Amino acid sequence: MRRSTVRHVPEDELHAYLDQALSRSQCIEIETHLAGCPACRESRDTIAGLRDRTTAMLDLVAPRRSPPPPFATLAARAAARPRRTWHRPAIWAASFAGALLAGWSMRSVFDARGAAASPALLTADPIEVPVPSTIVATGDTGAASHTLALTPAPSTSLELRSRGPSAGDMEIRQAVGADPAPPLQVSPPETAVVPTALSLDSRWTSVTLVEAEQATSGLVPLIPDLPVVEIQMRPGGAQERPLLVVTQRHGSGVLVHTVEGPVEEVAGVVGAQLGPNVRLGSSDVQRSTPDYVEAGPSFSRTQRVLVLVARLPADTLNQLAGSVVLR
Amino acid sequence: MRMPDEIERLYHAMYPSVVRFLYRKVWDPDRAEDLAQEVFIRAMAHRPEKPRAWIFAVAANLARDEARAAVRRKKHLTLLTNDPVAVSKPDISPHEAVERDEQLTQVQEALDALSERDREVLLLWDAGMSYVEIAQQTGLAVGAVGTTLARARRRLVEAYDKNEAEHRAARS
Repeated sequence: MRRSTVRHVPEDELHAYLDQALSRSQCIEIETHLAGCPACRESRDTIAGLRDRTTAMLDLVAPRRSPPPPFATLAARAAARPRRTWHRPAIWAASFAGALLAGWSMRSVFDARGAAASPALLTADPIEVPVPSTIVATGDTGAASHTLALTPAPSTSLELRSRGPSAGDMEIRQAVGADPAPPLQVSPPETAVVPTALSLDSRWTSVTLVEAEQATSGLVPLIPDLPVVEIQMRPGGAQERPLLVVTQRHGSGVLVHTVEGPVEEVAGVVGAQLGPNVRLGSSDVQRSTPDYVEAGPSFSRTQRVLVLVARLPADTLNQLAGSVVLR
Repeated sequence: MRMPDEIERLYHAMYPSVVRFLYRKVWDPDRAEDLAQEVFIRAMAHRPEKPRAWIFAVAANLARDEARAAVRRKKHLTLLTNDPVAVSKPDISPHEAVERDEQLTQVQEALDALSERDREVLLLWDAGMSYVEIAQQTGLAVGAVGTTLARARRRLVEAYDKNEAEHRAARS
């Protein structure tokens, strides 16, 4: 008597079956077999579990979802490149890697949780500051550096430092200054000037939301659901988006200013608002979408940030900053 | 010759998948976006005949070159493993955040422990490519894609479980 041989479904075929990568006839064949084979059904269930687990694991390491830049921005960048015909992908892949090494030295990532976290950053009050710490430091190319520092109080400073050939290569640190100057005596709150607008120079113009969206290719920072009082704009550098100050009215009536632009420009604007009678707070510094500037066959990146400035507690401002969308 | 609107259509349809694919290779969300944009800019200039496959092929090449460059400048490299988590889950407790960071690191390590081929096939599948497309891109026979995926999934889970057991032993 001949023993019947049962061909169980191989593991890889069960994966392909669950991945819906088989033809209809192959599926029917497998399903017919599964109906009569408990061992293969068990294998299928095990593999389905394995498949679900790997999917969940990969989901865990998914990057945050951010809206893609407008296609027109990419098209403009593509159009600005010199025309050339590439025949072998390896050639331009290698040239891009070269460009990365040459011009794009590791851009710094700064920790929004730590940088500028002090609610008293922009106040003139003497404050207690914890042990100084470098928030994040990255690549040092050893090239020329320049530093901008916000020094609102004698005992603290926030530095936004850009180093190297690319403005994207920067470092933000919060430090206690060694300046032994006595604390500033500030006016009590009742006599403080509540700013209704930031003091901006003549390079700034008021624009409509539509104009701002056009000028930024649709990257205007807005806090959802707060009415926009004013949008002010200052032209950016070549191929860069303009610097923006979006003023919105908070539920409490206080005006909230979102300053968005290249890191040093934002530092300049925010720094200019400081004064002995102004009691402003700021949110943590947050990154926004960088600018891409053509540089030969490749491009360089200008890091941009946004900071919320208002006469509100830092917690409130950070909460608002977390909701900002680039529209 | 492809019309630009085809690239635009693909850009809207595929951009998140390409970023996702690249992120798992460079472990930097911003760099992944930069590279993804570079891929589409090149697609506009190159007008490939099979743009979908071409886009992933170029993305894989860029990621590979990026990884080589990263090795060369390793001492300058700062990877913020908590970056995507901190942004996407602002309302979790510190304890949950720490736990999540640990999980994330373990998954990252498990993925990095796979062979280049296994990881490539797994990530291409996760990015939404079919077996046929994966076969075309990697040079595998279509029938071998299932085998490779089966092995990659099994090894990923095994590596993760091993990492987790070690972490648990270290904590206790």
